[in-house]
Parts: sequence; structure tokens; C-alpha cells
Amino acid sequence: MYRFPEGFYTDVREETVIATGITIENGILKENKTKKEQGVIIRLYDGRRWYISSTTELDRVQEEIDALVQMGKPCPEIAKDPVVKKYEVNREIQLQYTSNDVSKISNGEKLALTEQYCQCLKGYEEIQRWKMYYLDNHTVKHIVSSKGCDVTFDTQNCCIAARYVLTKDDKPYYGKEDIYCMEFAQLSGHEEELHSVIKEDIEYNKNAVSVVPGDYTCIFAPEVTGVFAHESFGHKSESDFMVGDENMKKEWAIGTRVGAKLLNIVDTGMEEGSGYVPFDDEGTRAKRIYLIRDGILSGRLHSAMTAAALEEDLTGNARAINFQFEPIVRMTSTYVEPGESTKEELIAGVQKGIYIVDYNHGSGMSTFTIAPNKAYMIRDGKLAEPVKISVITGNVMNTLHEIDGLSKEFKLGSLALGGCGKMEQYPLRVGLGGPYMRVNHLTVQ
Amino acid sequence: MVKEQYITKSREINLSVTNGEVTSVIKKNITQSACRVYHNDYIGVAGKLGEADDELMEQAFGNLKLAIPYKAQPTAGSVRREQLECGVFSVDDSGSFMKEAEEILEILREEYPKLIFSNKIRIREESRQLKNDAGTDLYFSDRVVSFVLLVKHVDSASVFDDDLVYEVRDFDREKYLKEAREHLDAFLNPVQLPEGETFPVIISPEELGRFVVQNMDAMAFGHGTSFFNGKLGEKLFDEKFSLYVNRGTDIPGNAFFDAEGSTCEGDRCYLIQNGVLLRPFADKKLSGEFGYENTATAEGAYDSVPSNVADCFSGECSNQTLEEILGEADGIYISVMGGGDYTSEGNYASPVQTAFLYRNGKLAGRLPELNISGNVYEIFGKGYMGISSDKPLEGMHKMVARMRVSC
Repeated sequence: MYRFPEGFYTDVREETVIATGITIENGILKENKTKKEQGVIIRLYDGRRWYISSTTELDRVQEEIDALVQMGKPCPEIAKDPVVKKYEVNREIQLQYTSNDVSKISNGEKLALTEQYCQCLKGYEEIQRWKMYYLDNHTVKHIVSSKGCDVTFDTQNCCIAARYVLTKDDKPYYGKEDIYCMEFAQLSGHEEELHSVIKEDIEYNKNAVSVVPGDYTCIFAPEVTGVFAHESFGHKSESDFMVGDENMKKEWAIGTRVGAKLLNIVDTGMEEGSGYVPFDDEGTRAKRIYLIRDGILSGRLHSAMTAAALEEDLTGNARAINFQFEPIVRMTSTYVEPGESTKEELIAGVQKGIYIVDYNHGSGMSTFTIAPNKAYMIRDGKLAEPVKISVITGNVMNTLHEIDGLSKEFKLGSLALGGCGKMEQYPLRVGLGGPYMRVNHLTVQ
Repeated sequence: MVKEQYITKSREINLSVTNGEVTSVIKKNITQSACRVYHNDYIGVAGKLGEADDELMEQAFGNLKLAIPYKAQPTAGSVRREQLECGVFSVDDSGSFMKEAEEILEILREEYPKLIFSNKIRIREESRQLKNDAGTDLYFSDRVVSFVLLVKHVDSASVFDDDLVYEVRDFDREKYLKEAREHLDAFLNPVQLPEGETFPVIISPEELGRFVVQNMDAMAFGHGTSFFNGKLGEKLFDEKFSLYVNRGTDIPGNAFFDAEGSTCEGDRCYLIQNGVLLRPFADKKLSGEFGYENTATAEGAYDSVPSNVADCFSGECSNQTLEEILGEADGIYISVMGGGDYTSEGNYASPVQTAFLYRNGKLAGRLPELNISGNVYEIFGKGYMGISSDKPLEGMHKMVARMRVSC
């Protein structure tokens, strides 16, 4: 164990990652690597500022702690500091993925599974080039602090990601499908899902026409609802943007109506998937936080620093993409709760609108943006021709009031490739999801 | 059989800024090492954090059994060393760098009490080395100072309103403050969008050029999936538009060799010259597979098999400054984009969170939120006005193209 210096709060987060990545491109093996990486990040806090060191030299952690001490000023009352008082003292080992540890599966089995899925792509003459990825990751984190926290936990995922290019009149269309699981055994048997998406993409690409730009009612598929919740409101719930900003505190006071009455948005690290983190990177246990409940602002996401500054409770949202970065306030799995309608009922209620099936990327500040990958017109309450769209946009604060329908069907999605970016930290694994959702008055270009 | 080591090192002092104050100081020291073994058109790779050793090379040798094809020769007999560090600040002297950052933040806080500054200030030293027993020994190192501050007005309900980005090799406080003051003064001066449907838009070439670059991939041409398929040799764009792989020193932190050890003659290789499509970009393997020229564009994670990556491109600068390109016209300077994209037809659209009116050689005021749009053939065709020879904004050359602009 480490010698923690007097007058400082200190924590040490050690990460061990074992990951495999296999890439087959147009039938040729391009990558097959399994790596084990270990690193550590050490943080000291003197009540005024954090002093942090990130290193791969695991045998020099104590030296790093001692060196960081020289940068700060010891504070005899550090235990009474509001930030330090906030920290939970969890002492627990929560290793969920020991018996089904994906790193114990042989490389041969992983390669065989990847090759099996490649067969799905080979049968379509419309696919002119493709890539099949197999990716897995088993991460163990051990966090100790001078306050007594000592938690060890693991996270895991494995996925198959298909990427392919179709062309029509020399215009390329980029198709994709991800199969994301927590255990290797769950990855098999999804060929039909992949075939179904490919066939839909081929038809889409044959028939899609440029959209007529304008103001439309849109219906989002669950993953799109998820990215909407994440981009339109999730980032505004990250309270590091609010620290020391009196106007933001007033504008975003808990209890303020921010959306339609049927809207509930939740963030939680407790759901299995790409947003699963039983403890955050400060050792705080995951919670389930309503960001919006019945259209009313109900909560926001915190690290210890922001929770102390805003005098609110910890939420388990201090996260870093890896040991090279300090934890900052980030989402975990963010989703809109389901409603009472069916998907068909939502569509039936639209005279002229657009159904957004999936997306390439999203972003959100005062205006949110989603770049759809596949979309269809809705005419007279029925799905009609496929359309190509650059972006759909809307003012965040107006749009949340424009939601008028949510389906019973619900899906929490996980990202196989990519993730969320904030400041210099990209990509962070997050979960996104929700029901089918109807939103009025979006700008489509 | 050829054995090779590929090592990247980075050291940095990274300051987190909250509410205009430095709230954390992060020291990083990361070494990433990979060993590669080339044998009979196959490659074995092994990587680790930390220094390479004999055991890692043994692992790479053992990974030949994974049978990853690599039908290209490792770079042989290429020797070059470039160390570009300059300026008064260094990672070793964190105290001086912190003092400079804190003094600058204090100036900004005092001069702009209505603005809140946050995010990152960083000094980073990085090196990349590739050496093998075929006589290649390439080494590059550099040091970059970055001020990437988010700016928010105290009365705003947005997470942030604008950013103030400045990245240079040799940091000069007065130059930085001059640019920052012009930017922030304009930010505090709201103006209306002048009458008109199209305007010269001042933007980073990378944002609008992404679609062009993506479609210049040799894999896309080789398989007939490029938007520009069948058009090599044709003049598709304006005479003034040239795009090249940039391995030069003008971009801080830009190594002169790629992850396969390939270099370009004169550190640049044109893909589009005077509007004519010359060649796609290709790493060694694609060069061999499809017969295109190797353009030194292999990249990837340190422990990956290098692959062809759309990175490291520049549009050629004109011989005119930004002010000269615009002449009498007003320009719309795009500071914070809102996540735009192209359709497969080449139609681009994006909301813009923060834009400025650029008039008579300076930022004249902040515009309301707006939208920009255009087609790739218009943006780089008749609408293309050039890339500035000077770096008047964000320490970067800026592209100007006439686009549709609406509020």
C-alpha cells in the first residue's frame, strides 16, 4: 500500500486492459492483435488545486506521489474540505466478468467468429468493399484513496461491427451494423439481423432521393432518440459547466420545466452495456439519476468537485477515457423512458414528416445536430420513399417541448466503435437509447 | 526477415482551467513501443506501454503465426532526424509554463469580466522513432503549446458560446493576446448578418475538405466506391484549389514520416493540383495492390499494422493574405461549428453556433447563430476563393469559399 502524504487528499487509479482487435477487409486479414496495457493515474488535492501524474511505470507510484507533494501546499484541514467530505468510502471487489472473461477466449475462436460474419457480406454483389471488425475489452480498475476507498471492479464488452460501401451512380453509401454483447458466447447467431440491415440498406441506396429542406415532424428510432437525449440535454446536465456560473445555476435550477410533460430522461451506470460502470473513476458507486422527470429538470451529473461546489449529491459520473486522463463529469447510459404509444401509432399521426432510422454522428450545444445515415419520408401516416439528409437540427430548449409521442418499444443501445467526446477525451464508451419518439418542428437540410 | 521498432513518446504538462483559474495540473509521461517482424509477405506486431525489449521482439516474431499479409517491403536505408523543439517553455520547467498560463488567465479575467474561460492549456513534447535492421533510422520530435479555451458569457445559458484556439511551436504572449483580444472584443459586439444569400465563408480547410479527402482514399478508388470514381486526371475544381499530403514542418507536431517509414519528396505529395485530380492517397500496401503512388499516409495505433488513414492533409495556400482574398467583401468567420455533414450527393449543411463578421481585415462583431450550406463542387469550384498565406485567426491558414448563409 502507498504512503499517502499528510495535508493532501490522494487517490490512485490503476487500470489493466486486455483487448483484442481483429479486422478483415474485403476478405483479407488486416489486423489481429491482443494487448495488455497497464497504467496508473495519481491525484493529489491540497484544497486549492489538483496535482496529477499519469504513468506507465507501475513500480514508481510512490515516487510519483512524493514528487507531486512538492507541487502543492499541505492543508492540515484537508479532511474538512467540502470536496474531500463528499467522497464515498467504498471498499469492495466487484468482478462481474471473471467466469466469462473474454480475454480467456482463444484468438482462434475470435477469428473464426469474425470470418463467419464475413460470409454474410460476401453474398451481396451490391457491396463493393467492406470491413468486419471484432473488438473486445476486459478492463480491471483498482482505486484507492487516502480517505479509505478501496474498490476493484471490472467492465467488459465484445462486439462485431460490419462496415460496407454500396454505390449508386458513383455515389457511395456507407452501411453499418453493430452487434454488441457482454459475453463472447452471446455474439454468435446474429447473422439474420445483419442480413436484414444489409437488404434494407441496398433498397435504401437504390431509391433514396435528396430531401426537400424544410421544417418537419420527425420520428426517431430508439438509437436516434438516445443520441438526441445525449446531445440535446445530456451534455447540459454535466455540471462542470455550471461551477462558479451564477447565471447557469439560475437558468438550470432544479424544478424548472424544460420539456414536454411526457419526457423522462435518465442517466445511469448500472445498466449493462457500453455505459456500464459500477463505480466511477473516483470510486463513487453508480446511481440512477433522473435528469428530467415529467418534463421538469430533476437532476444533474457530478464529480466530487462539482457536487461540492453546487452542494448536491454524488452521482457516479466522474469518468476518464483511460489512465492518461483525469476524471471529468461524463454521462454513462443516457436514455428516454418509454411511453404509451406504439411505433405505428406515432407514424400514423404524421401527415408529412420524416422517420430517422439511424445516424452517423450527433452534436449539441444551444443547437443540436444529428446527421442521419438512413431516413424515410412519412406521408399520410405511412412510411414512404427513402431520403438523403445532411443534418437535422433544432434549438435544444425549444425542441424538448416539441416532443409529443413516445412508444412502448424501448432499446438501450451500445456503441461498438467510437463513443462520446468532451474536451480532449474521446472516445468514451456510453450507452444511448429510448423509445421511438416523435418531435415536431425540426429543421431538415 | 526484417525486424523493426516503432516507438512514440509523449510528455506533457496539461492545465485544466475552470472559471478562469487553473484547477489541476497534470503531468504525463507515456512511452508506447511496438516491435514488428516482416517475413515472407507477412507481418508480426507486438506492442506495450513502456520501452521495447527483446521479449517484445520475440512476441512480434511469434505473432507471425497469425498470418497477417503484408505485401510490401519495409522501408530500407532511410535515415533522417528532425528535432523541432523551440521556444522558451518546456515540460521540464513546469513552473515557468504554469506561471505564464496563470498570468495570461489573469489578464483575460481582468480585461473581460463578462466572460468565463475554461478547458485546457497544454505544453506537449512528442517524439516518433522508426528504426529497422534494413538500415532505416527515422526520428522526429517536436514541442507544441496549446491554448484551447472555451468562452462563455456570464449571461448565457449555453454550456459554452465560443472557443479560443491557439496552437503554436514557439509561444509568444503578445501575439496570443493580440489575437485573443480581437476575437473577444468582437465576441462582445453583436452584429446582424448583412443582406445577401451567399457570402465568403472563412473556415478551416479540414472541415469542408473532409469529404474530398475521404473520397481520395486509394481503397475507395481501387474498388470503385469513390465519389470521384473514374475522374482521375480530370479538372473538377477551381484552378486555385490544390490538396496535398503534408509531411512538412509548418504544422506543429507533424512528423515527416508515416507509420511505415515512408516519406514524400519535399515533404508533400499532391492529390489535387490546380483543380485536377492527380492521385488517391495510398500507403505501401495499397500502392502495391492497386498501382497507385505511395503517398506516406500509413498511420494507426502504435501497436497496429499500419493502414491507410485520411490524416495529414493541407490545402495549398495562395499568395494572398486573408484580407487580400476578401478584397472589399465582408467575410463570415466560422468559429464554432454545429456538427455538419455531407450527403452522398456531396451536399453539405451545418448549423454554426458562433460566427463573426470579418470586415476590413479584422473581426468586426459576433453574428447570430446561422446555417451554412453548399455542394462540394461549388465549395471547391466556382465558390472557392483560396487559402490565406497568413495565419490571422487561431494561428492557422484559413480557407475562404462562397457558400449559402442563412440565419
